[in-house]
Amino acid sequence: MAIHLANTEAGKLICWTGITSDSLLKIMKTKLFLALVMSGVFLSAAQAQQAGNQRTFDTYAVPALSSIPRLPDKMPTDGRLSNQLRIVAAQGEFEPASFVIAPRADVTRLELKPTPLIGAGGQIPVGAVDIKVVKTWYQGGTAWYSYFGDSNRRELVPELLLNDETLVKVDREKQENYLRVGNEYRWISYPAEKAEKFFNYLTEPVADSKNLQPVQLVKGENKQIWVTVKVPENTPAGIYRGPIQLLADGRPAGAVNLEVRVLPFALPAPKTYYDTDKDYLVTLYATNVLEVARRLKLPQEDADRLQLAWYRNLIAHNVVNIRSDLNLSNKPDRAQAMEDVRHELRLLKQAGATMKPLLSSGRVAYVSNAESKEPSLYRQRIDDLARTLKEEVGHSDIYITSWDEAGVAHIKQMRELAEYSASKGLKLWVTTANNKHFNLAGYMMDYANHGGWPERQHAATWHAIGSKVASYAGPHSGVENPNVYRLWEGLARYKANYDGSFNYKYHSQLHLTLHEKWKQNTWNDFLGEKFRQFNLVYPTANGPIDTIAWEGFREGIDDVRYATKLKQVAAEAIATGKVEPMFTAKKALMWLELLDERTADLNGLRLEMIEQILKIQQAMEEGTP
Amino acid sequence: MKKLLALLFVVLSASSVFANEASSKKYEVRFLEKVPYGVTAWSQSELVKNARNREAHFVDYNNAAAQDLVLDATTQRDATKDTAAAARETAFYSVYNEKGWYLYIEAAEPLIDDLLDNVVDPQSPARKEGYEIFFAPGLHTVPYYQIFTRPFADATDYYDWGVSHRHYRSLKEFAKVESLPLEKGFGTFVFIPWEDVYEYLPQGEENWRFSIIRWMPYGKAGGVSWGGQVHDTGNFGFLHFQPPTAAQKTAMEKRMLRVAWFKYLATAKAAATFWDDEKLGDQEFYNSVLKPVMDEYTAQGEALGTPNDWNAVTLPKAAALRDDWMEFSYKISELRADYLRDKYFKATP
Repeated sequence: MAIHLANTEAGKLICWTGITSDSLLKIMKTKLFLALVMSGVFLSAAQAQQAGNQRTFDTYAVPALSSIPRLPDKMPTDGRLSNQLRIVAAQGEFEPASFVIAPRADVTRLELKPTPLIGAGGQIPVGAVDIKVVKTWYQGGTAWYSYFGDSNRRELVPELLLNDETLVKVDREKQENYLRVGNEYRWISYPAEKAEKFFNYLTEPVADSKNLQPVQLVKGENKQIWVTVKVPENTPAGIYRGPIQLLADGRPAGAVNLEVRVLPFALPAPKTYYDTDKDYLVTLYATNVLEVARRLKLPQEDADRLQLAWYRNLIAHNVVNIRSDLNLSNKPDRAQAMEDVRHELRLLKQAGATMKPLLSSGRVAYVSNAESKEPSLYRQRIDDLARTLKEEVGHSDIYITSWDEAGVAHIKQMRELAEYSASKGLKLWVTTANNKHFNLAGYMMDYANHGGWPERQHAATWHAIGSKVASYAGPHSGVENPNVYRLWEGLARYKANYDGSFNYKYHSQLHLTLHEKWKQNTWNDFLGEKFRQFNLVYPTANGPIDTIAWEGFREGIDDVRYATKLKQVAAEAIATGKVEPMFTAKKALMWLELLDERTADLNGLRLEMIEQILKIQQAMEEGTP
Repeated sequence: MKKLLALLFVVLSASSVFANEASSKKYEVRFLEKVPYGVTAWSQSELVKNARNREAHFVDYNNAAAQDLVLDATTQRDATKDTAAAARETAFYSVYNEKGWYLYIEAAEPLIDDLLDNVVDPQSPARKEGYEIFFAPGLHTVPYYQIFTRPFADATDYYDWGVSHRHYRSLKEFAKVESLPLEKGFGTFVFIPWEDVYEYLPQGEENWRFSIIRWMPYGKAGGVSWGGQVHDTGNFGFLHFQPPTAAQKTAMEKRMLRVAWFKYLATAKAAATFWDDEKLGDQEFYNSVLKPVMDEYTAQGEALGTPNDWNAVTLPKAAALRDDWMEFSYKISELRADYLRDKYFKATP
């Protein structure tokens, strides 16, 4: 049995895994124990540092998801001087924790080494503990708050989650960023007038390390560390513990003790707040690689590898209703286009995406010049799509789309086109705002993606005719504050009775035809554009690089999944007809309805949802003879 | 020596950064004890009569950039511009006192009578006349705020670019905006009480980033800006808050502490009602965690005496409690989270 000791905040030694004090004494007398103590395995950072009378650094446990940016020169006002990290997670859930290292001296190489988390029910393997360093770099002046461009000002903000912090070099004096591309660093914070050519993120050799590399500490410059535990799905409920061992320039520097409480339930797929039988669809724009890869002449094998990496990253972040390029528009070679659709469907399936319903990113419900002259061509295209889908996945339950943010003329065209697609069982999703689409064409829109922040009255309008509603641009991606996405992708949309999250977008993509002319560089936030880079991740030839905002997105949908769980167990409890479980459930539902998620502390709110779920479950157990 | 050089470098860097920024427009916001409230009071006030208080250096909004604003899915603007349209003067005034920050905008509109006549038509561009007001209460690492008010549609939108937490509050609950027609145009009054941004009370030489953009679709006069384009904080102008005197500073802080104290009392009372409820609350949490904290905070507050009598001795004691008093709902949430987390790590749920 592994032994784990921790230094509590009060300075008392505690024994973690149920070892009796006698056993502990025996162990403590062994040479092995002494050797381990000497090596620092059992010591907290503070303890180790005090022993040598050289406190190299302090560690502050901080909420991973927070609206407070963790900056090198700011002490975490909401942090606790502690070497203990606690995570409460459901079975199968990804859950983050974080700490800030405040160096008292320079350390050239600080190594952070996770260990398996041990509990009475077994262990969570070390591979389930992912540690990243949070990279702060310069972004536009509004970066922490907005997706609007503000190239005239530079703010240091935390954003990237890296294994190797040297992937990006930051010049604090000049306020510039440099990206390691192969063996050289390239300037990625240049102004538009210095742009020379576009940056091909699909081929340029940009690669984060596969494993966490040692980090450098500079006295007085705080550094945030991000820990994500992926609880294996079959992990029994209980407490699991294990240290993250620290080595400073090769010398033991204590440990950060990680504790995970695994809850006695797994999270369900998200359902809507207003009806727990209806799926809450989680979708994002700009998740396709294949199309741009083809334009840039990437070998198919590489394109497929990257597309799968994109899909898997999306699914791991709860985006399971992946909007794909399932369309036959703009493609003169129909047979090839149909084959492309099949190919993409297979990749989606291979990655584990939800295959029903499907969502198309392409403008299927529109007419090309040729089709406008010969309507049968349009009808034939719709027939081909429906047939291909049925052959490949056994259904044609798909939401197709049309002109983006259409004006009146296009709305009227849509109405004509929808008559045929609807007759073939295809549904339509459309970007909309201010009810103009509802008033003119609501009857043929199955899924309205409403621009702006979610409000219940918008949902009520669309639900009145049986349509679904989601929203985008409230706000777009690009904001670095992770709580923006935790709130707006999560409980804010959910409680406003929306049917899903459908935001713009996963990352700024290369334009299919204008990327060279525009000299696009997804890594550069200072190109003077009206909007910042819309990056929840940064695309590379080795897969996407995550950001703290992207983790906020995942937590937002996880909040919806917890709320879904609460509503599901409440429904079960009410169905028992027994007073105690029924009243406990209804109290929980009252609480959920009354809570103001827009001003609540979301970390506290999550724990309260857990408490309500456990209370209902307990009431049902006690009510069972 | 290295330290001195480093310090010199920091000072030079800071001054050089600000030198660039200082080239933008700047308005001196002075402390004024008795500030007019509302458009009517402002339009007739001595403040407006004195040209020294008036700032009218607005410039045309870049027309091409204005056309691009159609891409902003969150806000509808009408930047219609006819190059033959007469220019309209836009001016603003701003002061502060212990209650908050005041802004008054006075806008000339030669078509005001016609415009008012047309406002009754819901489709009239008169209803799309608008001001976008942006401000950031500081220069770096501070939130920024956007208010869009349409004087003739009786509509004001507050855009929450932050997420509510201990250090950020929406303007919706706090700001007051009023617009009224005047003889030769219209006036708009904005008041932001310090309660909304109490972390940023003027203390010395504060500069806030600030801009007003006026949209004039009715007269097809396009837009004008006092600094930069929308969200373009790097090109905004600056409000320089003249340092308050010691007495003014004390008045501001004292009022803020009084607000915090009464807000705390109200929050605590509501929290006690909920958490101590035998059916809906959690009495164990209430008795073991929340009540002791409330008892302590209440005792500390009461020990200071009547808020109106707080003085140089008692104010610093109250100041130490200000943030927890003001944000007591977040404090409760933090206590509750700790309580639940501790509970889950004591026994298997």
